[in-house]
Amino acid sequence: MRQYIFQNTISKRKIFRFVGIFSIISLGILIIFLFVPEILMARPGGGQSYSGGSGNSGGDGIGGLIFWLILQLPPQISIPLIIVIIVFYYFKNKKEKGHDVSVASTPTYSNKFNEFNSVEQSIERFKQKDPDFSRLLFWDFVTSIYHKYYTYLGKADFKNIKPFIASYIWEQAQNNPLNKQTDISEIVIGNINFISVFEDDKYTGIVVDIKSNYTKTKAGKSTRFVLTERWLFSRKRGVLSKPPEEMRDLKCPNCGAPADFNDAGECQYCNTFIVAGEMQWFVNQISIIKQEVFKTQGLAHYEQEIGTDYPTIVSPAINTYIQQFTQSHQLKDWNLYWQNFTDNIAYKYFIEIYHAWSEMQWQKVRHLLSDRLYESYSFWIESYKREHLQNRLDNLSIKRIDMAAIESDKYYEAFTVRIFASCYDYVINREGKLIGGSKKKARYFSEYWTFMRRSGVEFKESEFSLHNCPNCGAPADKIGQAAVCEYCGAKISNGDFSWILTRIVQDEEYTG
Amino acid sequence: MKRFDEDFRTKLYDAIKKIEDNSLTEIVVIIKPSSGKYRDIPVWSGAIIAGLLYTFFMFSHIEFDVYLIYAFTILSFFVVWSLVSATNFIQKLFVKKSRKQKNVEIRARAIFQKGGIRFTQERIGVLFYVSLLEKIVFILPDRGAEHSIPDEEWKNMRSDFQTIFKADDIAAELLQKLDNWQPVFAKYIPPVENDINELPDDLEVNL
Repeated sequence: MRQYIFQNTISKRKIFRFVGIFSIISLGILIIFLFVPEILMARPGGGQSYSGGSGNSGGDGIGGLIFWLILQLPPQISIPLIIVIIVFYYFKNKKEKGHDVSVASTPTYSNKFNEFNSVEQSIERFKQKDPDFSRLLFWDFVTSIYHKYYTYLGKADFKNIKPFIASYIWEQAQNNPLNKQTDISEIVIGNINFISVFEDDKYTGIVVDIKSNYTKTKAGKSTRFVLTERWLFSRKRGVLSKPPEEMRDLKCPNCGAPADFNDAGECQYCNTFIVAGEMQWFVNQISIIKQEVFKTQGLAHYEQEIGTDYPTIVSPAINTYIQQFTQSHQLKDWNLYWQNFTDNIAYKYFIEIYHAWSEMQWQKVRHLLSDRLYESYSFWIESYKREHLQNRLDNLSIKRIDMAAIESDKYYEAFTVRIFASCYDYVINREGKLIGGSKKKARYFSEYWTFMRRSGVEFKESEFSLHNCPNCGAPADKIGQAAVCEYCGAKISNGDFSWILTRIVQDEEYTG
Repeated sequence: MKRFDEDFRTKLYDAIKKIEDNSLTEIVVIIKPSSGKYRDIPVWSGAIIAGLLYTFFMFSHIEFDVYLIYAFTILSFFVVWSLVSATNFIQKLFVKKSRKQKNVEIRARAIFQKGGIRFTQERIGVLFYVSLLEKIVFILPDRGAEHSIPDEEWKNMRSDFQTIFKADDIAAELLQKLDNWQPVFAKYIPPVENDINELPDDLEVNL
């Protein structure tokens, strides 16, 4: 090692000055290096960065200079220096990561599970009082009124939903001049979740969260919004639920004619004044709890998968329903039926539906999906198409299928299963270039899928064919968007003939 | 942040639910490790120590190897910077109270806006923002809530929540305080018929 021994005061001063200036410059360079790490990291591996980044072209030079400076030092100094820099980075990064961590009063898995149990129990209690209540039909009713509310908002037809809306909401909507200048279209409902079911002295109430998106057009300009709305539906205590034909579409609760009312809420067919909540559910409160503008950039954005390791949320009444289902279908062995269901329905639907998604041929599985689910996913497929993107799910394989809930009511029966699967989930553009996700690293995930069919349908799951109409057995190649088989004219998407997939919920979002 | 674990979060949600079940108000609690980065404090600390050390090298009667002067000046800077960055103690000591308060208030107000706490129909949202480094609980009520509860109660609430930092277990103390103040919310902002929670469960609170 070279050593400088200070021989006299003149050489000492010169050397001190040199060392001082050199130290300050080096310190400055190192501070820049530590404060602005992107100078060194802008082009990792030599320039694969997406940005043009011409302003950063000096980065390698500074990095190289620092590297060269460290190399010039003797090892007993450069090694501790490197160690100190590494330790510094470790603490700095740890500190900065910690800075962004926050604890918020959001529900944990345990809170969600308790709330799920509470809601399920209240629905069961409610069904004791109203045996005609069907969760699936209620979803249809919510879908129908939601569509009409926004389609008619600000238009003359808004009067047709007067008996289904609280008078203060109706008046506010009617008196808002902005509604008259706005047109809402392409309404898509993604999901409907039950939040609570309750009864007071006068009314029964059901609170639901509606995840939707729609296009708002004003002065010729359109904006697409993604929303979560919380709606309270109320009905006079003691009123019973209506049959499917009056729940799927808005009809006069008195005579059953298509909804055609005047401003006072009088049915134009039977001339009865319909008071909201007297005979049918009505919207008692609307609250928009989340709203953002839809951005197509999000189509290729991947978040870290969460919720796959959460325990399966199993309905508290599942054993009762298994017994009930076994008895009503005169099954000898429930386990055998369950095996048949998972092998021939859940498994096959999952593979077929995601294959159609991957190939962007949603129409091919029209006969397997409910209207709402078909519409909802069509929107996303169209969005990918518009951006010339494709979401591929390669090597899709199912790892496990768990039973989460069984429900049956007067009109429908539904199975909710949790499907654990893995695949290479990625997004490519028109040229086949990878835009998001990974072709090499498999993504493990789980989802809750709800299948439904009309009560009383006896269809052997083992004889089910994915490619035929479940009513007439003809090839499922002529099924239009309305899910009507052109061979037999039957509408298939109501579950009147076989199982229909009606809902897909991500594991971290599932609340029953 | 370790003390604010899953168990705490479950209890926190339950404590808030208890308040909301008995009141129209909607409570949001956010806990952050700090409300500012205070990067200047470690830099200044490192620079001062490096400067002092360099002065010592310059004017000491002892003769040093130039490598030592060079390396120790830089090393001292990084060591002090790392230590001060990693420990909150010195930052707490050197950051002015007014600066801390300002940072906490800016953060709280930003979260209030971004989290959409202002979107309740009756404007009855209340944010409890806990900033640990600054040791400040900032309570930010929306207009409706502020009008409903007398100012004296707000003052008492603010000073009472501020005492959580004196407790050994801040997390438990925070839960206790929420529980203690539940009757006040119930008294001044009582529940109404058909009250539905208007704030989403997954609030966007990261700025």
